[in-house]
Amino acid sequence: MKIIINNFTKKLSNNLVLDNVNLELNSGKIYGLVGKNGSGKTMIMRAICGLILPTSGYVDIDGKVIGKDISFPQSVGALIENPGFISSYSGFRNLKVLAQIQNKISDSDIIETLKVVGLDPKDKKSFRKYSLGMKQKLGIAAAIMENPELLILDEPFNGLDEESVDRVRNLIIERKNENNIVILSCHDSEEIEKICDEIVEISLGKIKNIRLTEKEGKNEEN
Amino acid sequence: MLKILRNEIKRGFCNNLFFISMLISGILVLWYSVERIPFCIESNLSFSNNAAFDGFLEISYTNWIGSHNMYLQQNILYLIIPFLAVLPFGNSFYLDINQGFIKGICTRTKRSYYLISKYIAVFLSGGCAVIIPMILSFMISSAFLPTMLPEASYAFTNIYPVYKWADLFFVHPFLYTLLYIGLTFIFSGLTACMSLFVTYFLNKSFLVLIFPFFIYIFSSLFFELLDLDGFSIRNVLTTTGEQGTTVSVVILALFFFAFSFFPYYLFGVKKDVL
Repeated sequence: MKIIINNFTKKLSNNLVLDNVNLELNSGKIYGLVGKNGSGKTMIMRAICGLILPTSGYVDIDGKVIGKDISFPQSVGALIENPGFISSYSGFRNLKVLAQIQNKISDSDIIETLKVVGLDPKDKKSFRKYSLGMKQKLGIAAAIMENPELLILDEPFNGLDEESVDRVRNLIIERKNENNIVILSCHDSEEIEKICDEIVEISLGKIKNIRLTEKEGKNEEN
Repeated sequence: MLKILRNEIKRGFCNNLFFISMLISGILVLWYSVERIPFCIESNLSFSNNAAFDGFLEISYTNWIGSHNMYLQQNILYLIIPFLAVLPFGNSFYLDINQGFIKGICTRTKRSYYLISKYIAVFLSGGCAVIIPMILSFMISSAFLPTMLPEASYAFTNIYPVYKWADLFFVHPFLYTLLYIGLTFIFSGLTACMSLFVTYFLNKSFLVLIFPFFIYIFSSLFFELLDLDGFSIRNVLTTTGEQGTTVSVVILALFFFAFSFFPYYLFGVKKDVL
Protein backbone atom coordinates (compact mmCIF):
# COMPACT_ATOMS: atom_id res chain seq x y z
CA MET A 1 0.00 0.00 0.00
CA LYS A 2 1.16 3.48 -0.80
CA ILE A 3 -0.45 6.69 0.40
CA ILE A 4 0.34 10.01 -1.20
CA ILE A 5 -0.96 13.21 0.32
CA ASN A 6 -0.53 15.91 -2.26
CA ASN A 7 -0.85 19.65 -1.50
CA PHE A 8 -3.70 18.89 0.89
CA THR A 9 -5.28 22.05 2.24
CA LYS A 10 -8.33 22.17 4.47
CA LYS A 11 -10.22 25.21 5.64
CA LEU A 12 -12.89 24.95 8.32
CA SER A 13 -15.00 28.11 8.68
CA ASN A 14 -12.13 30.23 7.37
CA ASN A 15 -9.58 28.58 9.66
CA LEU A 16 -6.74 26.93 7.84
CA VAL A 17 -6.43 23.59 9.66
CA LEU A 18 -4.18 21.91 7.09
CA ASP A 19 -1.91 23.96 4.92
CA ASN A 20 -0.47 22.40 1.79
CA VAL A 21 0.42 19.07 3.36
CA ASN A 22 2.60 16.72 1.32
CA LEU A 23 3.43 13.27 2.60
CA GLU A 24 4.19 9.81 1.27
CA LEU A 25 3.55 6.72 3.39
CA ASN A 26 4.59 3.17 2.53
CA SER A 27 3.79 -0.33 3.74
CA GLY A 28 5.77 -1.96 6.50
CA LYS A 29 6.41 1.24 8.40
CA ILE A 30 5.15 2.97 11.51
CA TYR A 31 4.74 6.70 11.16
CA GLY A 32 4.48 8.94 14.18
CA LEU A 33 2.74 12.29 13.94
CA VAL A 34 3.96 14.75 16.53
CA GLY A 35 2.99 18.31 17.30
CA LYS A 36 1.23 20.52 19.79
CA ASN A 37 -2.50 20.34 20.47
CA GLY A 38 -4.40 21.72 17.50
CA SER A 39 -1.40 21.42 15.19
CA GLY A 40 -3.34 19.26 12.70
CA LYS A 41 -2.28 15.68 13.54
CA THR A 42 -5.84 14.42 13.89
CA MET A 43 -6.93 16.31 10.79
CA ILE A 44 -4.30 14.52 8.71
CA MET A 45 -5.62 11.23 10.07
CA ARG A 46 -9.19 12.22 9.20
CA ALA A 47 -8.08 13.23 5.71
CA ILE A 48 -6.45 9.84 5.12
CA CYS A 49 -9.64 8.10 6.32
CA GLY A 50 -11.83 10.17 4.01
CA LEU A 51 -13.68 11.71 6.93
CA ILE A 52 -12.85 15.20 5.70
CA LEU A 53 -12.60 16.27 2.08
CA PRO A 54 -9.95 18.75 0.94
CA THR A 55 -10.47 22.38 0.12
CA SER A 56 -7.66 21.73 -2.35
CA GLY A 57 -5.24 18.88 -2.99
CA TYR A 58 -5.91 15.19 -2.58
CA VAL A 59 -5.14 11.92 -0.82
CA ASP A 60 -4.18 9.11 -3.18
CA ILE A 61 -4.26 5.52 -1.97
CA ASP A 62 -2.74 3.02 -4.39
CA GLY A 63 -3.67 5.25 -7.32
CA LYS A 64 -7.21 5.97 -6.13
CA VAL A 65 -8.13 9.44 -4.98
CA ILE A 66 -10.30 9.74 -1.87
CA GLY A 67 -13.52 11.61 -2.52
CA LYS A 68 -13.23 10.95 -6.26
CA ASP A 69 -12.46 7.27 -6.92
CA ILE A 70 -13.13 5.97 -3.41
CA SER A 71 -14.92 7.31 -0.31
CA PHE A 72 -12.50 5.78 2.18
CA PRO A 73 -9.40 3.53 2.09
CA GLN A 74 -10.51 0.00 1.26
CA SER A 75 -8.76 -1.56 4.24
CA VAL A 76 -8.47 0.81 7.16
CA GLY A 77 -8.89 0.60 10.90
CA ALA A 78 -8.95 3.84 12.80
CA LEU A 79 -9.18 5.16 16.31
CA ILE A 80 -9.49 8.90 15.97
CA GLU A 81 -9.84 11.10 19.04
CA ASN A 82 -12.25 9.48 21.48
CA PRO A 83 -13.48 5.95 20.90
CA GLY A 84 -17.04 6.35 19.60
CA PHE A 85 -19.58 3.62 20.24
CA ILE A 86 -23.26 3.12 20.92
CA SER A 87 -23.48 3.80 24.63
CA SER A 88 -26.24 1.30 25.39
CA TYR A 89 -24.51 -1.65 23.68
CA SER A 90 -21.89 -3.93 25.21
CA GLY A 91 -18.37 -3.98 23.81
CA PHE A 92 -18.97 -7.17 21.85
CA ARG A 93 -22.27 -5.93 20.41
CA ASN A 94 -20.68 -2.65 19.32
CA LEU A 95 -17.90 -4.47 17.50
CA LYS A 96 -20.41 -6.84 15.95
CA VAL A 97 -22.48 -3.96 14.56
CA LEU A 98 -19.33 -2.52 12.98
CA ALA A 99 -18.07 -5.89 11.76
CA GLN A 100 -21.39 -6.69 10.06
CA ILE A 101 -20.97 -3.70 7.74
CA GLN A 102 -18.20 -5.42 5.79
CA ASN A 103 -18.87 -8.95 6.99
CA LYS A 104 -15.19 -9.87 6.76
CA ILE A 105 -14.84 -11.44 10.19
CA SER A 106 -16.76 -13.85 12.39
CA ASP A 107 -17.92 -13.63 15.99
CA SER A 108 -14.94 -15.71 17.07
CA ASP A 109 -12.59 -13.16 15.48
CA ILE A 110 -14.30 -10.41 17.46
CA ILE A 111 -13.98 -12.44 20.67
CA GLU A 112 -10.32 -13.07 19.92
CA THR A 113 -9.68 -9.36 19.30
CA LEU A 114 -11.35 -8.40 22.57
CA LYS A 115 -9.12 -10.87 24.40
CA VAL A 116 -6.03 -9.53 22.62
CA VAL A 117 -6.68 -5.98 23.87
CA GLY A 118 -7.47 -7.25 27.37
CA LEU A 119 -11.27 -7.01 27.45
CA ASP A 120 -13.66 -9.72 28.53
CA PRO A 121 -15.80 -10.73 25.50
CA LYS A 122 -18.53 -12.01 27.82
CA ASP A 123 -18.79 -8.70 29.69
CA LYS A 124 -22.42 -7.54 29.28
CA LYS A 125 -21.69 -4.09 30.70
CA SER A 126 -22.85 -1.30 28.40
CA PHE A 127 -20.24 0.96 26.82
CA ARG A 128 -21.37 3.93 28.89
CA LYS A 129 -20.31 2.09 32.05
CA TYR A 130 -16.80 1.39 30.74
CA SER A 131 -13.81 3.05 32.36
CA LEU A 132 -11.63 5.35 30.25
CA GLY A 133 -9.07 2.60 29.74
CA MET A 134 -11.72 0.05 28.74
CA LYS A 135 -13.18 2.49 26.22
CA GLN A 136 -9.75 3.04 24.76
CA LYS A 137 -9.15 -0.72 24.50
CA LEU A 138 -12.47 -1.17 22.73
CA GLY A 139 -11.53 1.62 20.31
CA ILE A 140 -8.25 -0.15 19.55
CA ALA A 141 -10.10 -3.46 19.15
CA ALA A 142 -12.47 -1.88 16.62
CA ALA A 143 -9.50 -0.53 14.69
CA ILE A 144 -7.56 -3.78 14.51
CA MET A 145 -10.29 -6.43 14.37
CA GLU A 146 -10.53 -6.64 10.58
CA ASN A 147 -6.74 -6.84 10.10
CA PRO A 148 -6.58 -3.61 8.10
CA GLU A 149 -3.67 -2.80 5.81
CA LEU A 150 -3.76 0.73 7.15
CA LEU A 151 -4.01 1.26 10.89
CA ILE A 152 -4.52 4.76 12.24
CA LEU A 153 -4.31 5.31 15.98
CA ASP A 154 -4.72 8.74 17.51
CA GLU A 155 -3.28 8.80 21.03
CA PRO A 156 -3.76 5.04 21.49
CA PHE A 157 -2.10 4.94 24.91
CA ASN A 158 -4.49 7.41 26.57
CA GLY A 159 -5.91 6.01 29.78
CA LEU A 160 -4.08 2.68 29.52
CA ASP A 161 -2.15 1.05 32.34
CA GLU A 162 1.43 -0.05 31.84
CA GLU A 163 0.56 -3.63 30.98
CA SER A 164 -1.96 -2.49 28.39
CA VAL A 165 0.53 -0.03 26.90
CA ASP A 166 2.97 -2.92 26.40
CA ARG A 167 0.22 -4.99 24.81
CA VAL A 168 -0.80 -2.25 22.39
CA ARG A 169 2.81 -1.48 21.56
CA ASN A 170 3.36 -5.13 20.61
CA LEU A 171 0.19 -5.10 18.56
CA ILE A 172 1.38 -2.09 16.60
CA ILE A 173 4.76 -3.69 15.91
CA GLU A 174 3.04 -6.92 14.84
CA ARG A 175 1.01 -4.94 12.29
CA LYS A 176 4.12 -3.37 10.92
CA ASN A 177 5.80 -6.78 10.61
CA GLU A 178 2.78 -7.96 8.61
CA ASN A 179 3.68 -5.23 6.07
CA ASN A 180 0.89 -2.87 7.03
CA ILE A 181 1.10 0.90 7.41
CA VAL A 182 0.61 2.20 10.94
CA ILE A 183 0.10 5.90 11.60
CA LEU A 184 -0.03 7.01 15.19
CA SER A 185 0.09 10.15 17.21
CA CYS A 186 1.22 10.28 20.79
CA HIS A 187 2.21 12.99 23.23
CA ASP A 188 4.87 10.79 24.78
CA SER A 189 7.91 11.52 22.60
CA GLU A 190 9.86 8.66 24.17
CA GLU A 191 7.14 6.20 23.18
CA ILE A 192 7.00 7.57 19.67
CA GLU A 193 10.75 7.27 19.24
CA LYS A 194 10.63 3.72 20.59
CA ILE A 195 7.94 2.45 18.19
CA CYS A 196 8.04 4.52 15.03
CA ASP A 197 10.22 4.34 11.97
CA GLU A 198 9.58 7.87 10.81
CA ILE A 199 8.44 10.97 12.65
CA VAL A 200 6.37 13.66 10.98
CA GLU A 201 6.53 16.96 12.83
CA ILE A 202 3.48 19.14 12.39
CA SER A 203 2.87 22.71 13.42
CA LEU A 204 -0.01 25.05 12.57
CA GLY A 205 -1.35 22.63 9.97
CA LYS A 206 1.96 22.39 8.14
CA ILE A 207 4.52 19.63 8.00
CA LYS A 208 7.68 21.10 9.47
CA ASN A 209 9.97 18.11 9.28
CA ILE A 210 10.04 14.41 8.40
CA ARG A 211 12.82 12.42 9.97
CA LEU A 212 13.86 8.87 10.69
CA THR A 213 13.86 7.86 14.33
CA GLU A 214 17.19 7.07 15.95
CA LYS A 215 16.39 3.37 15.86
CA GLU A 216 15.52 3.51 12.15
CA GLY A 217 18.56 5.70 11.43
CA LYS A 218 20.81 3.04 12.91
CA ASN A 219 19.08 0.34 10.89
CA GLU A 220 19.62 2.33 7.69
CA GLU A 221 23.31 2.84 8.54
CA ASN A 222 23.72 -0.94 9.01
CA MET B 1 -25.43 -1.27 0.87
CA LEU B 2 -27.62 -4.19 1.96
CA LYS B 3 -25.37 -4.99 4.89
CA ILE B 4 -25.48 -1.50 6.36
CA LEU B 5 -29.21 -1.31 5.61
CA ARG B 6 -29.85 -4.57 7.46
CA ASN B 7 -27.71 -3.30 10.31
CA GLU B 8 -29.56 0.00 10.59
CA ILE B 9 -33.00 -1.61 10.37
CA LYS B 10 -32.02 -4.03 13.11
CA ARG B 11 -30.87 -1.13 15.27
CA GLY B 12 -34.09 0.74 14.50
CA PHE B 13 -36.35 -2.06 15.64
CA CYS B 14 -34.37 -3.86 18.32
CA ASN B 15 -34.14 -1.09 20.86
CA ASN B 16 -35.96 -0.16 24.04
CA LEU B 17 -37.35 3.08 22.66
CA PHE B 18 -39.20 1.24 19.90
CA PHE B 19 -40.97 -0.82 22.55
CA ILE B 20 -41.63 2.24 24.73
CA SER B 21 -43.23 3.97 21.74
CA MET B 22 -45.42 0.94 21.04
CA LEU B 23 -46.25 0.65 24.73
CA ILE B 24 -47.55 4.24 24.82
CA SER B 25 -49.73 3.79 21.74
CA GLY B 26 -50.67 0.29 22.93
CA ILE B 27 -51.99 1.76 26.20
CA LEU B 28 -54.03 4.31 24.21
CA VAL B 29 -55.45 1.52 22.06
CA LEU B 30 -56.39 -0.57 25.07
CA TRP B 31 -57.92 2.45 26.83
CA TYR B 32 -59.93 3.24 23.72
CA SER B 33 -60.99 -0.39 23.24
CA VAL B 34 -62.05 -0.83 26.88
CA GLU B 35 -64.26 2.27 26.66
CA ARG B 36 -65.58 1.91 23.13
CA ILE B 37 -66.03 -1.80 22.42
CA PRO B 38 -68.44 -2.63 25.33
CA PHE B 39 -70.56 0.36 24.27
CA CYS B 40 -70.67 -0.94 20.68
CA ILE B 41 -71.53 -4.48 21.80
CA GLU B 42 -74.38 -3.13 23.94
CA SER B 43 -75.61 -0.94 21.08
CA ASN B 44 -75.59 -3.90 18.69
CA LEU B 45 -77.54 -5.99 21.21
CA SER B 46 -80.17 -3.25 21.52
CA PHE B 47 -80.32 -3.14 17.74
CA SER B 48 -80.91 -6.84 17.36
CA ASN B 49 -83.45 -6.92 20.22
CA ASN B 50 -85.43 -3.89 19.12
CA ALA B 51 -86.80 -3.56 15.58
CA ALA B 52 -87.62 0.11 16.15
CA PHE B 53 -84.04 0.94 17.17
CA ASP B 54 -82.94 4.20 15.61
CA GLY B 55 -79.32 3.64 14.69
CA PHE B 56 -76.98 1.38 12.80
CA LEU B 57 -74.95 -1.68 13.54
CA GLU B 58 -71.54 -0.96 15.00
CA ILE B 59 -68.92 -2.79 12.95
CA SER B 60 -65.17 -3.23 13.23
CA TYR B 61 -64.41 -0.96 10.25
CA THR B 62 -66.00 2.01 12.02
CA ASN B 63 -64.71 1.35 15.50
CA TRP B 64 -60.95 0.87 15.38
CA ILE B 65 -58.85 3.70 16.74
CA GLY B 66 -58.17 5.24 13.32
CA SER B 67 -61.78 5.20 12.19
CA HIS B 68 -62.85 8.45 13.89
CA ASN B 69 -61.39 11.50 15.48
CA MET B 70 -64.29 11.94 17.88
CA TYR B 71 -62.87 10.35 21.02
CA LEU B 72 -60.24 11.55 23.44
CA GLN B 73 -57.91 8.59 22.91
CA GLN B 74 -58.02 9.05 19.14
CA ASN B 75 -57.28 12.74 19.43
CA ILE B 76 -54.36 12.04 21.75
CA LEU B 77 -53.03 9.41 19.35
CA TYR B 78 -53.19 11.69 16.32
CA LEU B 79 -51.61 14.50 18.32
CA ILE B 80 -48.63 12.45 19.49
CA ILE B 81 -47.98 10.57 16.24
CA PRO B 82 -44.75 12.56 15.64
CA PHE B 83 -43.45 11.63 19.11
CA LEU B 84 -44.34 7.98 18.66
CA ALA B 85 -42.70 7.92 15.24
CA VAL B 86 -39.49 9.73 16.12
CA LEU B 87 -38.92 8.06 19.48
CA PRO B 88 -37.62 4.64 18.31
CA PHE B 89 -34.74 5.76 16.07
CA GLY B 90 -35.20 9.44 15.21
CA ASN B 91 -32.23 10.68 17.22
CA SER B 92 -29.90 7.83 16.26
CA PHE B 93 -28.22 9.95 13.58
CA TYR B 94 -27.59 12.65 16.15
CA LEU B 95 -26.14 10.07 18.56
CA ASP B 96 -24.02 8.41 15.87
CA ILE B 97 -22.44 11.79 15.12
CA ASN B 98 -22.08 12.99 18.68
CA GLN B 99 -20.89 9.73 20.18
CA GLY B 100 -18.42 9.31 17.29
CA PHE B 101 -19.86 6.02 16.07
CA ILE B 102 -20.18 7.50 12.60
CA LYS B 103 -16.37 7.43 12.26
CA GLY B 104 -16.41 3.65 12.57
CA ILE B 105 -19.18 3.43 9.99
CA CYS B 106 -17.74 5.86 7.45
CA THR B 107 -14.41 4.01 7.41
CA ARG B 108 -16.25 0.80 6.52
CA THR B 109 -18.87 1.84 4.01
CA LYS B 110 -19.72 4.68 1.66
CA ARG B 111 -21.26 7.66 3.38
CA SER B 112 -24.11 7.74 0.86
CA TYR B 113 -24.98 4.11 1.70
CA TYR B 114 -25.04 4.95 5.39
CA LEU B 115 -27.23 8.03 4.90
CA ILE B 116 -29.75 6.19 2.74
CA SER B 117 -29.82 3.22 5.12
CA LYS B 118 -30.35 5.51 8.09
CA TYR B 119 -33.22 7.25 6.31
CA ILE B 120 -34.92 3.96 5.45
CA ALA B 121 -34.45 2.59 8.98
CA VAL B 122 -35.84 5.76 10.63
CA PHE B 123 -38.75 5.73 8.17
CA LEU B 124 -39.61 2.06 8.77
CA SER B 125 -39.23 2.10 12.54
CA GLY B 126 -41.25 5.34 12.82
CA GLY B 127 -44.00 4.03 10.58
CA CYS B 128 -44.21 0.65 12.27
CA ALA B 129 -44.18 2.09 15.80
CA VAL B 130 -47.38 3.95 14.95
CA ILE B 131 -49.24 1.42 12.82
CA ILE B 132 -48.62 -1.76 14.80
CA PRO B 133 -50.88 -0.56 17.67
CA MET B 134 -53.41 0.62 15.06
CA ILE B 135 -53.48 -2.85 13.53
CA LEU B 136 -53.89 -4.21 17.06
CA SER B 137 -56.87 -1.88 17.52
CA PHE B 138 -58.45 -3.14 14.31
CA MET B 139 -57.88 -6.74 15.40
CA ILE B 140 -59.51 -6.06 18.79
CA SER B 141 -62.50 -4.42 17.08
CA SER B 142 -62.77 -7.31 14.64
CA ALA B 143 -62.66 -9.81 17.49
CA PHE B 144 -65.68 -8.27 19.24
CA LEU B 145 -67.69 -6.55 16.52
CA PRO B 146 -69.07 -7.73 13.18
CA THR B 147 -66.73 -7.33 10.23
CA MET B 148 -69.19 -6.64 7.45
CA LEU B 149 -70.04 -4.02 4.84
CA PRO B 150 -71.02 -0.69 6.42
CA GLU B 151 -74.68 0.31 6.22
CA ALA B 152 -75.57 2.99 3.71
CA SER B 153 -76.97 5.12 6.55
CA TYR B 154 -73.42 5.55 7.80
CA ALA B 155 -72.97 7.93 4.87
CA PHE B 156 -75.20 10.43 6.68
CA THR B 157 -73.29 10.36 9.93
CA ASN B 158 -69.56 9.76 9.65
CA ILE B 159 -68.17 8.97 6.21
CA TYR B 160 -69.91 11.41 3.90
CA PRO B 161 -69.80 10.57 0.20
CA VAL B 162 -67.62 13.64 -0.52
CA TYR B 163 -64.89 12.38 1.79
CA LYS B 164 -61.67 10.98 0.44
CA TRP B 165 -62.06 7.38 -0.76
CA ALA B 166 -65.65 7.21 0.64
CA ASP B 167 -66.76 5.09 -2.33
CA LEU B 168 -64.19 2.51 -1.42
CA PHE B 169 -65.34 2.48 2.20
CA PHE B 170 -68.85 1.32 1.33
CA VAL B 171 -67.71 -1.31 -1.17
CA HIS B 172 -64.33 -2.53 0.08
CA PRO B 173 -64.06 -1.38 3.69
CA PHE B 174 -61.09 -3.63 4.38
CA LEU B 175 -59.13 -2.05 1.54
CA TYR B 176 -60.19 1.38 2.80
CA THR B 177 -58.92 0.53 6.28
CA LEU B 178 -55.66 -0.78 4.83
CA LEU B 179 -55.26 2.42 2.81
CA TYR B 180 -55.62 4.57 5.92
CA ILE B 181 -53.21 2.41 7.87
CA GLY B 182 -50.79 2.63 4.91
CA LEU B 183 -51.22 6.38 4.80
CA THR B 184 -50.51 6.65 8.51
CA PHE B 185 -47.43 4.45 8.02
CA ILE B 186 -46.06 6.67 5.25
CA PHE B 187 -46.67 9.97 7.03
CA SER B 188 -45.43 8.66 10.39
CA GLY B 189 -42.24 7.46 8.71
CA LEU B 190 -41.74 10.72 6.86
CA THR B 191 -42.43 12.72 10.02
CA ALA B 192 -39.81 10.68 11.90
CA CYS B 193 -37.31 11.41 9.11
CA MET B 194 -37.79 15.15 9.68
CA SER B 195 -35.44 14.69 12.63
CA LEU B 196 -32.50 13.78 10.38
CA PHE B 197 -31.74 17.07 8.66
CA VAL B 198 -32.02 19.17 11.82
CA THR B 199 -29.38 16.97 13.42
CA TYR B 200 -26.79 19.06 11.56
CA PHE B 201 -27.93 22.23 13.31
CA LEU B 202 -29.22 21.25 16.76
CA ASN B 203 -26.96 20.49 19.66
CA LYS B 204 -29.41 18.73 21.98
CA SER B 205 -30.86 15.28 21.45
CA PHE B 206 -34.30 16.23 22.80
CA LEU B 207 -34.55 19.13 20.31
CA VAL B 208 -34.00 16.62 17.51
CA LEU B 209 -36.80 14.51 18.97
CA ILE B 210 -39.34 17.33 19.23
CA PHE B 211 -38.62 19.01 15.90
CA PRO B 212 -40.93 16.67 13.88
CA PHE B 213 -43.73 17.48 16.33
CA PHE B 214 -43.40 21.19 15.50
CA ILE B 215 -43.39 20.50 11.77
CA TYR B 216 -46.46 18.28 12.19
CA ILE B 217 -48.40 20.80 14.25
CA PHE B 218 -47.29 24.00 12.53
CA SER B 219 -47.69 22.68 8.99
CA SER B 220 -51.22 21.51 9.96
CA LEU B 221 -52.10 24.87 11.50
CA PHE B 222 -50.53 26.75 8.60
CA PHE B 223 -52.61 24.97 5.96
CA GLU B 224 -55.75 25.11 8.07
CA LEU B 225 -55.34 28.88 8.50
CA LEU B 226 -54.94 29.22 4.74
CA ASP B 227 -58.16 27.26 4.31
CA LEU B 228 -56.21 24.46 2.65
CA ASP B 229 -57.46 21.80 5.05
CA GLY B 230 -56.73 19.05 2.58
CA PHE B 231 -53.01 19.71 3.04
CA SER B 232 -53.12 19.57 6.82
CA ILE B 233 -51.41 16.32 7.84
CA ARG B 234 -53.67 16.02 10.90
CA ASN B 235 -56.71 16.00 8.62
CA VAL B 236 -55.19 13.81 5.95
CA LEU B 237 -54.59 10.97 8.40
CA THR B 238 -58.08 10.88 9.90
CA THR B 239 -61.00 9.25 8.15
CA THR B 240 -63.42 12.02 9.03
CA GLY B 241 -63.36 15.79 8.65
CA GLU B 242 -61.81 17.93 5.93
CA GLN B 243 -59.39 15.29 4.82
CA GLY B 244 -58.28 16.31 1.34
CA THR B 245 -58.12 14.38 -1.87
CA THR B 246 -55.82 11.76 -3.35
CA VAL B 247 -53.97 14.58 -5.12
CA SER B 248 -53.45 16.59 -1.94
CA VAL B 249 -52.24 13.45 -0.15
CA VAL B 250 -49.69 12.73 -2.89
CA ILE B 251 -48.50 16.35 -2.99
CA LEU B 252 -48.15 16.46 0.79
CA ALA B 253 -46.28 13.14 0.87
CA LEU B 254 -43.89 14.31 -1.86
CA PHE B 255 -43.33 17.57 -0.01
CA PHE B 256 -42.59 15.74 3.24
CA PHE B 257 -40.24 13.36 1.43
CA ALA B 258 -38.39 16.13 -0.38
CA PHE B 259 -38.08 18.21 2.78
CA SER B 260 -36.90 15.31 4.93
CA PHE B 261 -34.58 13.57 2.46
CA PHE B 262 -32.79 15.92 0.05
CA PRO B 263 -31.35 18.50 2.48
CA TYR B 264 -30.32 15.67 4.83
CA TYR B 265 -28.68 13.61 2.09
CA LEU B 266 -27.06 16.33 0.01
CA PHE B 267 -25.62 18.04 3.06
CA GLY B 268 -24.58 14.73 4.62
CA VAL B 269 -22.49 13.43 1.73
CA LYS B 270 -20.43 16.63 1.68
CA LYS B 271 -20.22 17.29 5.40
CA ASP B 272 -16.97 16.59 7.20
CA VAL B 273 -17.03 13.98 9.95
CA LEU B 274 -15.22 15.66 12.80
